[in-house]
Amino acid sequence: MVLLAFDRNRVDSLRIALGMAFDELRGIRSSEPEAADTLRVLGSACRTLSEIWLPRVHDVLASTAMTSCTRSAAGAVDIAQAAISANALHPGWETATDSTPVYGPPAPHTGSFDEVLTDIRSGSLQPMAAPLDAHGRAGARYTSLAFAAGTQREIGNVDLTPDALKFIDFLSDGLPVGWRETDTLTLYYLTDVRVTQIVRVLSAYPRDQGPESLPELTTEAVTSGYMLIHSRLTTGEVTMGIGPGEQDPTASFALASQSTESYSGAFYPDTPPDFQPITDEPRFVNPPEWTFSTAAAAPVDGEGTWKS
Amino acid sequence: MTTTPHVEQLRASARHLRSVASAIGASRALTVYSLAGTDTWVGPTQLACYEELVALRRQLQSSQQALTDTAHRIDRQADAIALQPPGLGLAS
Repeated sequence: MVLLAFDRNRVDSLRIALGMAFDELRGIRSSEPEAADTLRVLGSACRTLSEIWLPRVHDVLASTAMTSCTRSAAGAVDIAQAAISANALHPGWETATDSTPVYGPPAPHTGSFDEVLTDIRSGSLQPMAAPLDAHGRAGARYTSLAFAAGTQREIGNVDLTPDALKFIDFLSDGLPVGWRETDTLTLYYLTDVRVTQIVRVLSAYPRDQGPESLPELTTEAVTSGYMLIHSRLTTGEVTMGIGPGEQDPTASFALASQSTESYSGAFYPDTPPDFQPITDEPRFVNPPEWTFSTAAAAPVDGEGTWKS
Repeated sequence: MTTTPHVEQLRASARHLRSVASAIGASRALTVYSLAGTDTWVGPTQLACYEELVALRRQLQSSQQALTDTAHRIDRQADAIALQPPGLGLAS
């Protein structure tokens, strides 16, 4: 439970000031093209005031869950809560349950790396529905899932590189032609991840740019959960020893080197995401860190394959 | 279009942009953050509100400055046009 301590009169003054600020900003108009950016800032500010903070401050004032605070109510475990308790001891201060806290520590994941993997294998953790596949039919629609994490925390990883490949990697240190490959399974916990479901049409496209998407059918949702990524880094190289005669065989100069990186994975949400159509308003968002489709080979450079 | 109306139009734009900048500068949105401090309320929501209002203040001040700079630029443009001999026939 997250507590909120407040002075009712001051919060009411804040509510009035927020309302006046909103009215003032809303009243600023301009048809000058030079003021277009400013109007966008004003629109965003109005939304912040009217859709987020005015309702929230109003909720605090209308809260019926107020209690008088006692020293034992919050406990001494949480410093933040103790500070709230201390403030609530001032005359006129009240405490309430903060039903919609927006800050504070992220919800902790409950499982360790092994526990989460066990839950995934047993089916206790269900992956998000896989992207739709076009099954190679030209003109057919398929979907990609793009993930941009608000906060990501690595829970653990394990090296899955086969011993034979590790041996080849070892030998590559002394040979003129080398091959290195590493397979890694990494588990992340993503908080407030923005999942975008992009609808595309299978057609010819430049591989570095990817296929065109259909923005009017694109949807997105915000959720939290586990992301399991299996990444593979492969490097082929041709090397030449440094200097004439006898020398350290591992001291060499790379004449040519080519690396490819690919990944596959799946997302296991805490709660099923509620996908909504995207708005066409300009906004600042994090670029996606992972994008998946169900194609056996990633259709676009930098994208991965959905594999649960 | 003759030069004089064009210059007047530019000056009117600059005046308008300055008035918008002035309205932003006078808005309570620039000072409301001071009412959201820990002497009003304490908790995660307070922290989020305070930080967002401070960020909003920064954005508004930045917009205000951009408008003022643009108005100044337009005024200089109008001055330059006004100083040119009338026979040059400026494109509008």
